[in-house]
Order: sequence, then C-alpha cells, then structure tokens
Amino acid sequence: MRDNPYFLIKGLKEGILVNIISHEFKLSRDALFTHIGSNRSFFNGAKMLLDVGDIPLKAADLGKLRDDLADEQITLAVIISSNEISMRSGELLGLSVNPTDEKKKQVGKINKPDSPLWMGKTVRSGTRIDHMGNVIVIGDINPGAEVIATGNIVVWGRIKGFVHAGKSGDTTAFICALELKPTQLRIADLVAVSPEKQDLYLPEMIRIINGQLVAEAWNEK
Amino acid sequence: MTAKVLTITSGKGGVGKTTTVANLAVAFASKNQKVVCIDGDIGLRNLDVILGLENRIVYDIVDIVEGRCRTRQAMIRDKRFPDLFLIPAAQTRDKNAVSPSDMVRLCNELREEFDWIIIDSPAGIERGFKNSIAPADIVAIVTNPEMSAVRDADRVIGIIEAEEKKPPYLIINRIKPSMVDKGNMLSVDDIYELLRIEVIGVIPEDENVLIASNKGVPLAIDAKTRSGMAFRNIARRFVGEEVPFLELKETNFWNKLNIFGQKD
Repeated sequence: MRDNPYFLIKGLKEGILVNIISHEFKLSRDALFTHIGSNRSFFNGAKMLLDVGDIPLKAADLGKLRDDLADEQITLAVIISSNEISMRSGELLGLSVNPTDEKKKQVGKINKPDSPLWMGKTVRSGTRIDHMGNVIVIGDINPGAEVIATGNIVVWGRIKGFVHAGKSGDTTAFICALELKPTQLRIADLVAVSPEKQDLYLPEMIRIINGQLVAEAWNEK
Repeated sequence: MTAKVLTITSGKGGVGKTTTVANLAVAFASKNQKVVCIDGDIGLRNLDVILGLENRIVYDIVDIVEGRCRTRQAMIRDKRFPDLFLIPAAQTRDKNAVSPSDMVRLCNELREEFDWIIIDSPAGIERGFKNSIAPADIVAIVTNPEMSAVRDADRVIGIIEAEEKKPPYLIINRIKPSMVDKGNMLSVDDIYELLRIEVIGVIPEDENVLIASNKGVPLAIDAKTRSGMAFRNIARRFVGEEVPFLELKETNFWNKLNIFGQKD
C-alpha cells in the first residue's frame, strides 16, 4: 500500500502504522483521508499508530486529526516523533508517545498497564486524556477535564473534573489524589459523585470494596 | 519600534473584554505609547462604540484583508489621543471573512509603527477567537468572579497552552469586595486557586464603567475613579512597572477612625 509521496501504511498486529513522509503535513493529511475514504473496510474500527518523524505538530492540529480520525471510526492511540512539539502535543492529548524508543516492532507493548501516561501539569477544562494503562498527573484535574484510564489514576493535586479508572471493567483499579472532589468519579462501571461541601480534604484513595466505591484516607495504615 | 501584540479574550461573553481593550488602549496612549486596537468581533462589533468612534468608520478589517483599501485607510485616529488608532470590524460579514494567517499578516505589517497592538477577541472558542489569538505575543484573559466565567477561562487557558503560546495573564473584572467579605462571591484567591496563572489586574465593580462606555469615553482617560485607576495600573504592569494592587475596599473617614480606635 504505497506509491504516494505522503505516507506509508503498514498493518501491524497492534494496529495500523502510518508513516508520514512528506513535510507538507496538510497535504499528507488530506491524502491520508482520501485514502481512508476509499478503503473504509480496511480502516474501520482500527487503532492507528502515527509516525510523524520530525514534523512539528501543534496540539490543536493533532487534536483535530484525532477527532477527524474518530469520525472515521479510527482510534489514534500512539504518536511516534522525534520532534519535541509533536511529542508534547501527544502528551497533552493523552496519547502514548514514542512508546518503545522507536522500536516499532514492539509497538503493541505500550498497551501493557505498566507504561503509565505522565501528565506533568494541570489538566484543564476541555482536555480529555484517554489512556490504556495507568495515568499519573502532577497537578490538578480541573472541572470540565476528563481523565479516563484502563488502569489506575494517581493525582498529585486536586481532582475536580471527571475521572474514570478501570474503564474496561477492571474492578481492582483505584484512584488517589491529594484532594478528591470530582464532578463525577467512576471505577469500572460504578459511578459516584462528591459528597456535599466538606471543610477539610485529605489525601484519599478510592477503590471498590465489596462491590461499592469506598474512599479511604491516605494516612489510615 | 516593534509592537507587542496583546490579545484580550475570555471564553464567556459579557465579562468585559471590549471595555478592557478600550480602557487599556487609552491607558497606554496616555503613557505616550503608540497603540492600535483591532476589533476581532466581526459581525458584532462594539469597540468602536465604546471608544466613541462609531461615526468615523469608512473601511474595516475585512476591507483590508480583501484588498479594498490600504491598512492606513481603515485606521481611525482617536479624537483625544493622536497616537491611538482603531481598526474596526465589519458589521455585515462574519468571522470567516478573516483567517488566522490574515491576522498574523496584518499585525506584522503594523508592528513597525506601534508599541502595542491590542486585539479584542470575540467570546467563544471558534474561528473569531482563533483569529484573535493567532498573532498574539501576550494573551490576557478577562474573567468575572462567578463560576461559569472561571470555568470558561480555564478552557481558554488550555487552548492557549496547546497553541504553544506563553501562559496567559488574568484580569479579574467586576469584583465586589463587600460580597466577597460575606462569602457570596469568589475572591481573587479562589479564582487564582483554580486557574493558576498570573493575575495582572483586579477591577472593582463600578457603575461608572457602564456610564463611560455608553458615552464612548473610556474611564481610564483620567484616574478619577478606582476602576479607571485599576485599568491604568494594568497598562503600567504590562510596560514592566512594579505597581502594587489597589486596596479593594474603600477606606473612608469613619473606617480610619475605627482603626485608630482599635489601636488604643
């Protein structure tokens, strides 16, 4: 599947690897969508690993690409790049960035829950992080932000937005934060909202005990 | 001269973006800075009204972009300050008449001649907003001490970060110290807690602002009112001066007397 100057496509066990070769990202992008349009059955429901080389991609552009791919039923899961802006954009959008030190053979392994997503700053309203594995946030999760993980969510800061751990049904998943006052919190398929205003918030961990969501103060043990 | 491009935005509407732009513009101009304001709110222009220049509009920003006039021809000189100009928005078109790269081009053309280019962004996070932040060197977000405005500000900060811009500054408008004291209004600290960006100005609620806007005479032209003073202070902070924040509460004679009383 090639003969175009814009991208290479390779089917891997883990998903479809798209290698952007042209530096004209706009053209590559258009060409890619034309290609997807004429090969819908091949792409439908696929996971995409995108290698953009050293092209700088702003988060806004990458986010748009992800949304447009989602419209075509394609999940953009991984971004591979040597460019710092593109790497940062990937992080900002909650994608797995350069999961295997560019050893593309192993790309599938990023989905093991032991490769956490690192978010080194506050997750603001409108940002959605959806990660296969654990998520670590150093900063707050503000109202209007969504953090979703198949694994655990650990926040060194305050959770005020939406969090969902163990989204594929992992009932052993947990969420912990210095202050827990989410707009809504889910673990596996259980849902909870914060109790009405408290005066004092302590570091807490929430998990499922006997089929119920239970919050425990961090200093208990 | 290389101008700095300052974009004033907010997410939510009605929080005082246009008022802030008008007041900062006259504040800069009264410090002998050369200023041009660009109204980014195509289709719903207001800045010309607040600056009192509505009846002088001949050409607008869409005319510049579409080549119907030279940039100079669309720039309206202020009645009071010879170094203050306005490029008005078109009222009969919509946001799609201008693109982000048009804005960058226009600002680059103006940079040589001015100290400050102030862009009045429309509310929302769509095309008009994108146009307004595209050329920005500095972004300032105006918010009110109410939850919905602060939420929207947070969203906008996230977008600006994603655009690889410098962290924006925060202007808190329409704060009522008496309500804050009673715990009925978010305080400056509450807002900072959530947004965590540098606060560059706090404007107290003041009915004179509305009166001045209706007259087309921005309040910051003189420093007679506290809110006018607060706007002037923001301009001073932007040019690098260290200006302490105003005491929000008015201290009248009786309060002072009371303080003396307590000391004894």
